[in-house]
Order: sequence, then C-alpha cells, then structure tokens
Amino acid sequence: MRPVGYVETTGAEPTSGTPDLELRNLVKEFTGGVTAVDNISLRIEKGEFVTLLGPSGCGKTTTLRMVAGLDHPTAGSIVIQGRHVEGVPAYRRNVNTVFQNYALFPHMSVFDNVAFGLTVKRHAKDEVRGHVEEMLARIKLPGFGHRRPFQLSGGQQQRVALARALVNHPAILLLDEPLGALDLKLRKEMQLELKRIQRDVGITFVYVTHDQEEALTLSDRIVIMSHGRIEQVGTPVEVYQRPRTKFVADFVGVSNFIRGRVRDAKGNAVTVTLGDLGDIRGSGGKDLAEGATVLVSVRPESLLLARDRTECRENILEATIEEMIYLGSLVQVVVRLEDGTILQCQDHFARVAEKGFQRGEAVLITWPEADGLAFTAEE
Amino acid sequence: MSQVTARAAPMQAGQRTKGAQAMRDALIRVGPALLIIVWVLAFVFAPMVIMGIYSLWQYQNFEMLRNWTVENYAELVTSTIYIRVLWRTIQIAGLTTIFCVGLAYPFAYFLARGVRRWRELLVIMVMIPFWTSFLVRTYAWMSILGEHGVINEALIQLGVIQQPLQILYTTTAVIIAATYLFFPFAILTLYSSLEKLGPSTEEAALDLGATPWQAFRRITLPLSAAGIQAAVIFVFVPALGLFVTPALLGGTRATMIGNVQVTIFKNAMNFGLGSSISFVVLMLAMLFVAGLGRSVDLDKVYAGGVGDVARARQPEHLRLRALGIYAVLMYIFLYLPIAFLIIFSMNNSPTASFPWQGFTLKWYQEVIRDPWMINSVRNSLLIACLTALISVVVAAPAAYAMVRFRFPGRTLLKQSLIIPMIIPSIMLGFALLILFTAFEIDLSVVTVLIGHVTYVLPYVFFVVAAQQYGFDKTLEEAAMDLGANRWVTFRRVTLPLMVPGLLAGGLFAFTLSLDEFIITFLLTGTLQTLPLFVWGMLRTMVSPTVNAVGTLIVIVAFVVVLAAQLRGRLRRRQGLTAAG
Repeated sequence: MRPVGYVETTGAEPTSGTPDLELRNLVKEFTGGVTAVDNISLRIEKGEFVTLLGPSGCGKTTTLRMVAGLDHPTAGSIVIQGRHVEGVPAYRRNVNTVFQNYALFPHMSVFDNVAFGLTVKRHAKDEVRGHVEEMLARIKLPGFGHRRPFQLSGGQQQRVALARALVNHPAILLLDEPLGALDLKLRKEMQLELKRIQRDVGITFVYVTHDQEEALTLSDRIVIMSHGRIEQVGTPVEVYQRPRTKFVADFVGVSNFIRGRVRDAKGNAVTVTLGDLGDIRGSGGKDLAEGATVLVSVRPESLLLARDRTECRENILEATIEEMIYLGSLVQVVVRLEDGTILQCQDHFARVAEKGFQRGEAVLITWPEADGLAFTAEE
Repeated sequence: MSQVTARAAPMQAGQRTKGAQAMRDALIRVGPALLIIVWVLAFVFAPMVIMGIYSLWQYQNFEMLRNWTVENYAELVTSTIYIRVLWRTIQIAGLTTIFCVGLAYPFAYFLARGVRRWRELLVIMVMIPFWTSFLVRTYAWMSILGEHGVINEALIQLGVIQQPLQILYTTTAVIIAATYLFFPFAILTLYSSLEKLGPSTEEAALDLGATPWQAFRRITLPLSAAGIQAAVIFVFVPALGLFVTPALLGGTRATMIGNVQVTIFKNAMNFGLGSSISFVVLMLAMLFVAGLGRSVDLDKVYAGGVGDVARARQPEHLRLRALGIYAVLMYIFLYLPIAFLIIFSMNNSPTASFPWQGFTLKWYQEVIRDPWMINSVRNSLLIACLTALISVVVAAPAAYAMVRFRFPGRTLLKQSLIIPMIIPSIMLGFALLILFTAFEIDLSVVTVLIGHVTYVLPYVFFVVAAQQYGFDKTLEEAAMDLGANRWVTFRRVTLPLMVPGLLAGGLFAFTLSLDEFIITFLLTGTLQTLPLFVWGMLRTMVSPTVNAVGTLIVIVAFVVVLAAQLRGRLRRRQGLTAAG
C-alpha cells in the first residue's frame, strides 16, 4: 500500500522513466459489432493533465472505463505504471474515477463517502479520519462530513466526488465529464479549482470532455478522438494552431473552410485557386497533389476587414458584410463571398467602430499566409 | 469467482474454456432466481398440472378413481346449473368491471390533472379503503342495503317508498358491493398511468387548436389505453373468483361460480368436477387477458407511487370544477360504508342499524375480551410476518437478478409470475388444496403459509423489481473503483440501497396476507386467522361486535398506510429511492 500523502511537483515535465499510463493498440468492440475504440495507442507521463476530447460516441468514455477496469478491452493492452492490468478487476487497480453524475452513495454521509476507499482497504480508523478531514479541508468543505450528499449543492457534490477519489492517492485519476452537470459560471470556477488541485497533488489526471474550451483551459496535452480513433495528440497551442486534420480544425475552436483546388504545392506552401475569386496561399501537408480539391481553414480571429488593399496581408478576398454581432469587447462579423461562401470574422469592437463598417457594405477580408491551413477535402 | 475475470478471460482462452465460462456465467446469473423458480414450479405449475389430471379422472363416493374420463366436463356441460351460474358470474364480473372502470377513470383523471397541493393526501385517501379488510368492507354494505338498512330507512323517512325495497340478496347488491370493493384499485391503476402521461401532450393538443374534448379523446384516452386495460384485467379477473361478496350479499339468487366450487371442493370433495370447472374459469380468465392484446407491464404498474407532485402544473384551462364535484361524490361513495360501520359500532343497539340508541363502547369491550378474537389476531400477525419474510427472501434475489442480468428463461420467469396475478386467487386455493390432498399433506399452519407466500410472491417480486429499475448502476461501479470487491460492494452499497424496496415488498406481503381470506379458508386445518374469525361472526350473528372489529381493522389500516406513505415521502425527499 502506498502511503497516503502528496508529492509536490510542478506539473508536466515529461520524464524519461516509466510512463504512468500506456495504451497499446487498444480495441473495444461491443456485442452487436460496434467498434467503440479502434486501435489506439497513447503514452501518458507522470503528473500530466491529459484530456480526451471528442464528440459523443467517439470512444473517449469507453477508453476511460477500460483504464478503470469497468469495461474490458477486446484487444490490446493497458499498462499502468509499468504493470499490465488485463484481467485485473477494477477494485485491484490503483486508479480512481470521478463519475459524470458523481455517483455519491446516497445512504452515506459525506465523511463515509470520502472514507469509503480507505475503509474497504482496512486502514486504521484514526488514520482514515485524519486523511478524510485533510481532504475535506483541501476541497474547502471542512465540517461538511456529517452531511448527506443530497444536502449539498451540485458544485459541492462534485468536490466530494473528487475528494473521495483523491484520498486514495491513485496512480491516475480518471475524470469522466466531471463538470458536465454544472452551470457555466460554476464550471469556470471548478476548472480553476481542478487545475489547482492537480498541481497541488501531482497526480496524473486523465480527463474526458466534449467541451473543447474546457480541454484548452485545463490540459497539458489534448488527445482528440473521433470514431474510436485518435486524430491528434498535442498541447493546447499545437492542436489549436496546428490542427493536423480537418476534423481537429473543425472541432477545436471555430474554423472557416474555403473550398478550392491546389494550383501549386511546394514543400509546405500551397497555392489554392478559388476560380473567379482569385488565388489564396497557405500551408498544407506534403501529400497535397496539384489539382486536388482542398478546404483551407482560417480562424475567425485571423480574418480582418479592410477597405484598402494597402492595409492588407498576403491573402485578400472581396466580400459583403451580412451581419454584425456585438460580443462585448469583440464583434463577430459575418461576410459573404461572391460565390455564396459564408465566413465568420472576429475583430475588436474598437477597431470596427473606428472604421465604421456597415451591414451590406462591400469590403475586403484579409489574412496572413501562415494562418491558412489546407486539408484534403473528403469527396 | 468474479464476473470481471470471467469476462476478461476469453481474450486469452480458447473456444472450449470460453464455452465453460459462458455456462458458469449464466449459472451465476440464474442463481439468485433459483428459489423462486423452484417455488413457482412446486406451488403454481405442479398444482395446475395435477388439477388438469384430476379433471380427467373419475370421481366416486368422495374418492378419485384413476380412470381417464371426460365425464367431469360432460357433467359441467349437460347439467344446466353450472352453465347458468358460470354465465351469471361472467355477467356480474362484466358489469362490475364496466361500472368500476367507468366510474374510476374521471376520478383518476381528476387526481392526475385537477389537483396539485392536496394530491398526495387525496391519493392516500383512495389507498386507505383499498388496504382495509375486504370482508369488513363487504359486510358494511349489509347494513346499508338491508331491509332495515340505511337506504331503505332513508327512503321511508323521506316518504319515497312505504315498503322496504329488496336490495340485499340480489345480484344488484353483489354488483354494487363488488364495484365498491375493486374501485380503489381501479382508480390507483388508472391514476398511475395518467400521472405518468403528464399534461404536456394534452396541452400541446390544446395549443394546436383542439377543444378540450378533442384533446382528451384523441390524445389522452389513446395514451392511457394500457392503463385502462390493466384496470379492466385487475377488476374482471378477481371478480370472476368472488366468493365472500355473493355469499354475504347475494343470497341464493346471486350465487357465483366461486360459491358453487367451494361447495364442490369442501363439502362434496368432488375434485374431478371441481377441477374441470376451475379449468374452464382459468381458460376464461386467460382468454380474456389474451384477448385484450397488449400485455401489461406489471413492474411498471407497481412502480407508481404518488408521483412527482412538484413537477405537475395545474392546468386551469380544463373544466375541472365539474370533475371536482364528481370526485367529492366518489369520496363519499368510498367512505360512506366505512362511516356507517364506525357509527354502528358505537350504537347502543343489538342490531347494526338505525335508529340511533345512544353512544356505547360495550361492543369494543366485548371484542377485546374475546379470547378467540385475540388468538386469531395473534395467528394472523404471525402468518403475515412469516409470509412477508419468506416471500421477500424468495422473491427479492430473483428480482435483483432479473433487473440486472440477462439469463436463459428470464422472460419466461417474468411471465410465469404474472400468471398467479391474473388468475382469481380462489383458483390458486383450489389448486393448492388438490396438491396437498394428492400428496396427503395435512392442512395446517404450513399449508396456509405456503398458500399465502404463493399468493403474495408475484406482488413482492414486482414491487422489489420496480425499485430496482431506478437503481443507479454507477454507484456499484464507483464502489469497485474505490477498491471494494463484489461482495463488499454488495454489502455496503447495493444491499443498503435495496432496503426501501425490500421493506415496501415486505409491507405489501404483510398487508395482503393479513387480509387474505379465501386461500386461508380453503387451506387451513384448525388454525384460526382474523379474517376467518370475522367470517365466523358474519355467519353466525350480525351484531355490532362485527362493526367494532371492522372499525379496529380500519384504524390499523389507516395508521399503516399513512405511516408507509409518510416514510416513503421522507425517503423520496432524501433522494434515497428513485422509484419510490
């Protein structure tokens, strides 16, 4: 039994030692032939905060449940701190889960809930009491031990669920959409709280969410999944700025997609023709062939409005302002190209107001070459 | 062995071990249901089979000769008496069903839609007569319909009639009382279906321009069809097996098949003819249920409690005031017989009827001093406790397994358990009587207990299963995730969370057993229970002591129902039970 206590670390320096979690060619097929997880491999280092991100049905929760031991892989292996865990039941794995609906035991007090893991492992009573109370203090609910779960607010229940898992000092903490049931404001608060606690205890967190904003806020690394496969693994900056697939560009943040044909591809630089609208330049993979149909993705914040070609960057297109939506410090401007393509631009309110752009006005939109990413379009 | 390893194993194991594993896995899942399977085979199926055989054996001089014959069925068809009684039974049961469900539907509709704040109390007020002694409620009508009963006295006083009307000892009396007896259950069944339906679809129809009548006819009525079917089955089928009501209120003119059969079984010991009649009645009941088509989801029916009152809104646009007045009349119908029962129990007159002769408690004193009465109460409580205990032990593991696991024969088990609920309980009594006689088992406390457990078992099963449906499986996963193995998980999480369901099932069994008359009557040796004691009183003397006993029973039922409801309400508020 590991001693219960906390190692202070400063987050996620990748260490060269044994990773906390390794998935090797993991496959999960459910009866009825549905492949929920389709041959994924992943390495998670000690102390990392890794998020599995994807739409519902992408296999992220199934992956988490297989690590927890609640579901069993059809093929492949799971290695936790160097130990293969196939056939090891959930209750003998040094892994704990924070469930989506918290799954607090309704017939037990908060104290008994948090103490559950330690008592089933037959720790001494005094020791249990000490650890539980320390944990309740850590989640800022000291003195709540005697209450029943139903007497707590959603946010408080969430923190108790976290404490109940963390008190066992697992090798890995698994979190299955733990903030899904909270309202927006509370969710933001809890995100910061989670991050603080994770830094504090230095335990590896594997976090499942479909909320890309949450993933960007919390994670050291993000694993983006779709249809049971991994689309991309990277830091928040990498997956946002350098999405490797069209799916990632679309799922993480907001992207505009402009359809065109490759005129010329040299190394990473691509020139794409939009027909009558002219050519645009951007970067793309080396596998883009001349004449192939591509989608060029551009983030709304990369697109700027202009009236004069002299103030423009490398790419320029003519457009009409369809709609202007005030978002506080920002304005979302919806423009339409001559071929009917709708694009979203985001700009500072002050700048748009100063220039006095109007709805229905013909304008130029412009963006730097490096901000356009070309992906092969699925025909 | 844990299921976890059993499921993980096929990854490495070959085909043969896989088969063995699957076999063992199936056994683990069937395991908890074995007790109930054995019980149903021994005490439902075996008696039915024996009854089938007996109906084809020859009877002579109080003995069954083992010659195969169809003469029992021939006698049934050729002697007009049985056919006539059978036809009368169907008519009485049919009219009772029509009145009962017809009167109950608007009432249930009112409860589900017309009230909000008082709904819980109003529903409990329907439940109380339901849980009050069947015998006592039947008896209450004697003093209302009798020659010097409340109705005749009132009509004479008002000058409407000069001579008392003959209502008692007619089929009319039986139909009125039977309607009254099954009324609460019909209301509760319909209410449960209407309540679950919620008002939103009806509101949508109104919003789309339907008149209230159109909205009701085209939306609510079709959507509550399953509830109506359930109510029809639960009134018609037990009405086919009525015995007490025609015996007390019907006289010779309204004899029903149950009365004829009791004579055949108990007095003539003609098990051959009795079995053939039983089979015909069973076929009738089965055909009726099958004819209604859609099968009734009993585990869902019993999940209905008072429902989520907070969620319901009061639709003001509906013309509910008229329904409100109707509901008041129906409450009067529900409580007037009980009110007279109580009034006459304190009337200083040797007959339980008007005029009022002054207040007295002497009938109560007489009852409380009666050692036979005390003895029968003690026996009844003992039987009820044992019945509750045994039925929960037999039914609960099966309910647990049925909700969680798929195993071979799962659906068959569920359907076999519905059968005892949709055959009149008197038939179950006859079948068990035949079984015990065939194996020469003396009638005693044990046979009564077997009868009671067999009778309540399906109800306990479905009540426990209904509560299990609301169980959140992630709680067990959470326990395992925190290091509890299967046994610790079961002991510390699953079992404590099952307790409300077990208590509800046990309480249901206890109450049914306490009030059970006909099976006890058929299967008892020398054992005297409270309903048998009351029956004895009714057969020998109609004096206000019966009213005193009845009033005491009503008070106990009132306290028990109220306590159970308040407890359930408290638990729901604590979020301990999902299904209530």
